[in-house]
This record gives sequence, C-alpha cells and structure tokens, in this order.
Amino acid sequence: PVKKQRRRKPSIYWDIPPIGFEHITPMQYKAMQAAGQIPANIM
Amino acid sequence: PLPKVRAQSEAETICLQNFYVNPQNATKTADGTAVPGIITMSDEEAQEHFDNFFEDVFAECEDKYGEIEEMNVCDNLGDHLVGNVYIKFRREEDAEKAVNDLNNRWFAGRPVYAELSPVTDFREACCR
Repeated sequence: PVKKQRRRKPSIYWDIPPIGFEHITPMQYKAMQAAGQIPANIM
Repeated sequence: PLPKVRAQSEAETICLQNFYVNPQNATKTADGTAVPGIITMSDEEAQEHFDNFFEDVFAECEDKYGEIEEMNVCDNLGDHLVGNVYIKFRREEDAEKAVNDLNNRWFAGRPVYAELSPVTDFREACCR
C-alpha cells in the first residue's frame, strides 16, 4: 500500500531559528544561553 | 515499584526538554484558571494546535531518524516536566542519531534540547 502523506510541508516549526539569530547555529545559541548572554526562555 | 531505567548508553528513548509550548498555558495561572483580560484559546483550537504539533514532530522524526514505537508529550502547568516530549525509537542507534542531530536544529524559534532518556516503560514511569 502507498504510504499516506501525513504532514503539511513545509513545517511551520522545524528549522525555524529565533528572529535575529539566523546567523548562528543552535549549538552556539545554547552556549550563549548557558553563558547568560541571552535569556534562557525567550518565546 | 521503581520505574524501569537503564544506562544512558543503551537507551532508545529520547527526551526533548520543554519542547511543547501549550498555547493555553501562557494565558492561565498556575492553578489552571484563566488570567483576566487575556484572550484565551478555545479547547478545540488548542487540540488542533496540539494535533498539528504532534503530527509534525512524529512525522519528521520517523522520516529522518527511524521507526518510532511511542511518543509522549508532557503538558503539565508549572515548570516540572513542562512540555517535555519523550520519543521511543525501535532501535537504539536511531535514538542516538536523533539526539546528535536534533541538538543542532531549531524548532519554532528555539534551539532543541535533546538527550537520551533512561525511561523504557512509560506506564511504570513516575515523578520522583
């Protein structure tokens, strides 16, 4: 049987960086959070 | 009984910390009542939001990392376990691959915090 297409594409969640931080990697961002350079929970 | 746990090196379950943000939680106080003056989302809208979230996460992880046996989302108010998502893969190597890759990805404007989780049976898991 043909596998049903289950999802909407493109995703509205995956690989969406925070505004203003598009130029750094998630790992760099987390390091900055750990160092207190950016708040831990900005939404 | 104590929850079944295993050494982290042989886990096939991953935990994504604070991954699900319930849109209703932002407009409620810790005891679950609505904050006056703030427009709240209806239960139906919140369910649809959750369904879309669940489907998007499940499909992406299964397509990219491997077969998923079970996925659980913690939706409590308060900071304990809030928004944690547990994904149990059929194979250990898929879980490891997923953790390594997910920690280098963004999700909804936030970095993903992924780690291997020692939980193997959710029915026996309990809060410590």
